[in-house]
Amino acid sequence: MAKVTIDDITIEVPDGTTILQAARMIDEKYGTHTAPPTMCYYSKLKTTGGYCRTCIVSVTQGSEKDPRPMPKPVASCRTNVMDGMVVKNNTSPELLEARAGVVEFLLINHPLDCPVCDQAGECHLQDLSYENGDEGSRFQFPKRVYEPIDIGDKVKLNMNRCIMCYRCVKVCDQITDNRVHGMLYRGADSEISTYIEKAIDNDFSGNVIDVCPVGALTDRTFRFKSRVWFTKPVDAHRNCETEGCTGKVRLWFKGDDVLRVTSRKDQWGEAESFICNTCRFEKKNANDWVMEGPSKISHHSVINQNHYELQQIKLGIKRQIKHLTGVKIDLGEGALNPNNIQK
Amino acid sequence: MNEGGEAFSKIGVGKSTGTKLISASGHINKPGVYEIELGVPVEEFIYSDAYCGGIRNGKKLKAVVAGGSSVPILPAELILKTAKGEPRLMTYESLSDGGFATGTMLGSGGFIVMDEDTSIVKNLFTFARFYRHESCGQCSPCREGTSWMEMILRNFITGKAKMSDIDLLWDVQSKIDGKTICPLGDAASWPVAAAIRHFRHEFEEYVNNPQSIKEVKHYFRLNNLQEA
Ligand code: SF4
Ligand code: SF4
Ligand code: FES
Repeated sequence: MAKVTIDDITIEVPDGTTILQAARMIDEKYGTHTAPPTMCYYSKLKTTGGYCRTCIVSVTQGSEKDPRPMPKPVASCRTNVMDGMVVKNNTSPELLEARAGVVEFLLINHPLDCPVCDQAGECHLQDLSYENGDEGSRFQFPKRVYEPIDIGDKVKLNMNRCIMCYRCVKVCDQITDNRVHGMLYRGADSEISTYIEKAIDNDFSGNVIDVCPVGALTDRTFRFKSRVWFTKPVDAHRNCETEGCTGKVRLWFKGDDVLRVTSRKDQWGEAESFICNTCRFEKKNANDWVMEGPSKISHHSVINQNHYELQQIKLGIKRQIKHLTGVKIDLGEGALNPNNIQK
Repeated sequence: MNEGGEAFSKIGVGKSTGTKLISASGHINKPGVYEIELGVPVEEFIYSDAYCGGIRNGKKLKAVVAGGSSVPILPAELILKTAKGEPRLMTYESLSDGGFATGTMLGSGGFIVMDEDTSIVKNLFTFARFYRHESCGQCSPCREGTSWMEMILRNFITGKAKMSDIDLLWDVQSKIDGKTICPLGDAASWPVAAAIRHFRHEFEEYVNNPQSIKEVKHYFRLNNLQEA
């Protein structure tokens, strides 16, 4: 077991836990908000994480034995805790500044076409930029553009919105039997594609839609049908015969119609289990399912209204102080925890 | 090497022992790869006939990139002498003296000498282009940052930059430095930082007087720059 302190909260975790997992454990235990945001890490998939750098934290004490701080921010999803480690996330203004930089990098080539993007409302990039970004853009060059392509008749790929988190690549690699797509080229020219726009066609390919944190991979059968916040999520299940599919899904209703079927997402926005394409694309009739009741959406997002107001006030104060005085202010422990802000 | 490890380690100064291959290039009379004994003064390395043989055409020394394109560039006064006024030696310690504020690194030993006619900004653009091309694209700061820096620098050398772009460039490099998976991000940001640190006036000149860009002679061939 290792004792680790994150944002002044100490927890004991098994050896080999990452800083990110430890922070999530703290949040689950105390209802706090210490876990750093993640865009590429996915607990259900192997070898994810390390790419996007939004989860960086600063380690101010390496361990009990070797208390030296780590010289650079580290990716919390890929760094294991050590006994006696002290980590700062929301309590370090320098770190928040660095993270705002990462957010800016993710956004400079992003189209920000949320008004016509099916992901809006459950988009991790919207959440990320709202909570951790700076307002305004300093990028004054043409953005990268790609033509949207259809990967098969069910999935739409809009490369402009891709943040290159590699999650979909890992899905195809690990839970489908035949990986047909991946990252082409390199550097700023990288793009996700199936080779020669080949269709993705296997039982579990639809899961790339669920793991994609942005609107780069969207469900063609749901395309432009409704904004997600107008649909009502209901948990349901069916006895699915596809091997490997749990049949546990979330149905998104508008009136009596099922507009969309997705996997169930946990509080970190990650699928609890993966579902097959039959469940996802072909069972759009309420009679196909055994209802369990309305889903609890614990992941904060536009779907949960009013959440942003609090964040906005707090970030606003911080920025204004910095702007007026040039001084970066640490609002103290827990200042960034929305639970601590009085309404 | 033939004389054994002990004899090898007797060469050199302090912790920098032995010899090192230095690949000297740029505006010098005798570019080439030299095996030096660590501890040779930088001044001797540049001007002695045993090594670089001095600056071409009798020009003055302007700046040196001492250890490969990623290490901070230093102006003549800081490469020949440290900030404390001691002569700089070709050793790991001496070149790093003063940290990044007034020092640099011996790094890989890619020693690039620039004469008084060189444009630091144009040269930096070449470096930035290189790093943009080298970035593998895995992590966000490097993938997006290297191409952004290249675009900003292209604005400088095509006379489209604004004064605020200097600070922007500084900020972008600082947000790459230390935030990436591998050191390529750092390597891409250090030369930008150092060029602004020591040659900010050149960036300003490019903004105030875009015409001056055309007059600058440029060692690195960038004929296709305007079309690029
Ligand atoms: S992916 Fe997210 S941030 Fe991008 S356009 Fe869609 S909703 Fe907006
Ligand atoms: S398409 Fe989506 S899941 Fe795939 S790398 Fe891009 S953002 Fe990530
Ligand atoms: S979530 Fe850790 S680097 Fe992306």
